[in-house]
Amino acid sequence: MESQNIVVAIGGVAGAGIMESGHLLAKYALASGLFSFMASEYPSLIRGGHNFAMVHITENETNSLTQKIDILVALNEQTVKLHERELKEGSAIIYDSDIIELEKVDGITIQGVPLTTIAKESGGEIIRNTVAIGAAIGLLKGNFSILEETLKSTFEKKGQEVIDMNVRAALKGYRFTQGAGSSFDLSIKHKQIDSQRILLNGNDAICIGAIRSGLKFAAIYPMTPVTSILDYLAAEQNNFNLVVKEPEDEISAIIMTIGASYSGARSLTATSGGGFCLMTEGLGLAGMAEIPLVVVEGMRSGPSSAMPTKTEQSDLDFVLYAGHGEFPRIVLAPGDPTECIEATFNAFNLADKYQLPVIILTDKYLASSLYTINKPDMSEWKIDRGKITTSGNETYSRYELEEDGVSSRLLPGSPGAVTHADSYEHDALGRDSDDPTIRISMMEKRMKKINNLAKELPEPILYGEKDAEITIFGWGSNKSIILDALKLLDKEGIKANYLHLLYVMPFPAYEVAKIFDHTKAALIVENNYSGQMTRYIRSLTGRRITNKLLKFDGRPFLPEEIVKKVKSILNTPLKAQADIKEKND
Amino acid sequence: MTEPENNFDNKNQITWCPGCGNFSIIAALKNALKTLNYKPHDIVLAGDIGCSSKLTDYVEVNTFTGLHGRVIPLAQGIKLANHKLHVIAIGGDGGLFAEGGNHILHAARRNINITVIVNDNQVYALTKGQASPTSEKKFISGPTPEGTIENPINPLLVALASGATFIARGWAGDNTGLSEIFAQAISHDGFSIVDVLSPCVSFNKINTLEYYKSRVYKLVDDATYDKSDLTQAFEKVRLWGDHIPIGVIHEASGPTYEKQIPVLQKGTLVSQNNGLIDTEKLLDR
Repeated sequence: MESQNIVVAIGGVAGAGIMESGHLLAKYALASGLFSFMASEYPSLIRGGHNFAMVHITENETNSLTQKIDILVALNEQTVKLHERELKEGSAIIYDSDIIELEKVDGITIQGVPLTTIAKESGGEIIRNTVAIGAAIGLLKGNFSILEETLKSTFEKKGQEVIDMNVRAALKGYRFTQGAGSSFDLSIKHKQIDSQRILLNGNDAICIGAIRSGLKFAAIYPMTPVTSILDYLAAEQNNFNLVVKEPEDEISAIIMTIGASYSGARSLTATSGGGFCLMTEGLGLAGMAEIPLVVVEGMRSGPSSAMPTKTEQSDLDFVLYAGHGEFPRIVLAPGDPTECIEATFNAFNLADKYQLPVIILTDKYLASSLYTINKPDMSEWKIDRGKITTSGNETYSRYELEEDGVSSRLLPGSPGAVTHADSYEHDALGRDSDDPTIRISMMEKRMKKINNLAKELPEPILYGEKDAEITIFGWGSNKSIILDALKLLDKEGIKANYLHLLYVMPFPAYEVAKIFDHTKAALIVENNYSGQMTRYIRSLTGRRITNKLLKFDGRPFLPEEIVKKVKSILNTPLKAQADIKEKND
Repeated sequence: MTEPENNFDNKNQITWCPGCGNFSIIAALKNALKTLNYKPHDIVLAGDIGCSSKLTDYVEVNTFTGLHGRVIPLAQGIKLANHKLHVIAIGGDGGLFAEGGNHILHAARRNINITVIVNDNQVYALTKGQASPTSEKKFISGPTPEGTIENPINPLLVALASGATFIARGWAGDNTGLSEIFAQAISHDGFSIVDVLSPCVSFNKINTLEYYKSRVYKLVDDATYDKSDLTQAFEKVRLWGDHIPIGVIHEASGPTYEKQIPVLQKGTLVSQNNGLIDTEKLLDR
């Protein structure tokens, strides 16, 4: 018998609690000892647009969507119209029979539930989504007591009345469909619960990593998809002694962050591509004045306003080269919430240790999708604040030329000495200078930090067997999608592996070049139009990847798309592949 | 560098033109800091870009020379991370009211306890004499060969309208008075701004020392003026032309930004728990 693999999708107008419903289903799965992955789609409006959440529930670890819907929960008619073609033989539609009329479709279970009536009876129309979730669990022959516990923990803070109302609503929905769909044979099981598993999205993971590393200050201007970082940190201010500010613009955000870091506080700002455009002058300032800085860049569709709530990986070129002049920087592209926690923690250490800007590159898909992960063991992680001091003396100079390019950073307010930071080229004391000898020594001082840094960074991880028919290259959020594709390929007897690029700058050119020596065929997967990582790899390793799977429609990849591409590459005779390569070259 | 004696002097070579208003500003500032008896290590002087901001190189305190137009957010970040520091932001009329015009509105309405000193020479001097936002109408310069057709900004009116709790106009020709104004501004508990009328001997042939000498009068000599009265302040701040008031135009008290942040009541941010933070409960929810 095939292991559990169920997709429940729920759609309705914005404001109908679609995201909350998705969360509820994911929590139910977690409480049933199952894995779940939830991704959501929403337009850039607050009310009235179409919101849609898909929850993929599996017995074995899966952290991606898949090309099917088993149960479509429709809180409005538009949901049915937009998504009915994704249904297949054996799927079901649960819909609000109070407001929608549906005709019978062969092979599909049409399950009307008077969601509005039941919600009103239970406490209010607003909890239509809870009735619907109850109905979905009922149709899946799930366990109501697990759902009840899930509701209790979800609404714990809102009080007993809200809990009771939701439990009543869910139970009525559950009873309505339980055993009703005799033609619907999928059922949700429950397994041993693993208490180490949690649900987490990329943004929350970044916040946890930042707080763990001793974050003290954040200035963030709201922008999809990073806004929830601002909200999360602001809500935790008093619990973790943070100051979190919503400044007047992204320029102020990055400059305030740099100021706070100069004073000695671990500081963070976050934005998306559009805001990062405004931040580039600040990035150069941090590079020149050697101020530790951590910036989260959550990518979304571009250029300009484009599709503000849709995912894309099109800012790689931008973050690698943003700013005028030359200065060292670090760019990290974590692939899942687990990596987001660790990359953020490391980002603060690296920023302090090398006194430079560190960019954490994510995207809308990673930022807001809910993954099932194992709780990371952070007990061995150490905070490294680098060369920081609060005791100055007569010999102190801020930009002293040191062997490793990193000078001691005296915090202002330390008795005995004063410190200087400067956006101009400067001498060791931090005084403006355009002396050519000083310029050369200071440029070399800053740029050589990269050499030591490169030695310290971990090698890229090759997932899967070394000896594979094809190596897939990728970065950032495509990680979990590609890993799920590897499992599908394995089932079909195709051996593929995945090279995940997390530390993007400095780039592990030697290690990546080495991978090519063992690669029989190569494919790169990127959410952009032009293959930005493909070009970057070629520029630094001389290796060209001709098989590209690119997507720029604002939607994430599905593992099936990668499988299809891999099969088409492997089925192409070698002669033809060589011809394509020649043509591309 | 070693902490100097409290004279705030250093040996860096000054590059201002002889007769520049900045000489008066720097002398008045050092004098004010001496009067206040502040230690160099407790002060941060944040600089913008322009002739005004070269001042950071010539005063021996903690300094941060940042970007054009961005000194105000820089000063605020420095202050929020360590609110025990006395943070002074210095910039010119171009940086503060053109390139960075947005920032002053928000710093003022926050009432964050920093002091902004505007070296207002009504011209872009470091780029050799272009009209600035405070240049008088018809000011002839490279980009405005037939004279500016824009009306000048009144920096203090903008600050007052944005909620600044201390606004003053200084004049480079009265060094003693300027020093007293700086001392009051820096010790004011809240956002303070001093707009200093400061002649540019090289590029502004209109608003010279002589021009102001015949026009300025000291507000302190007017016994009927109540600087705590906002209505009077709005009236006074708009006076320009033959009679230009100098001195403290408005001073009010109100809760500072820092005092309204609960976390900062426990101490400065930099002094608070710098060890590993227990994040288990964040993972468990």
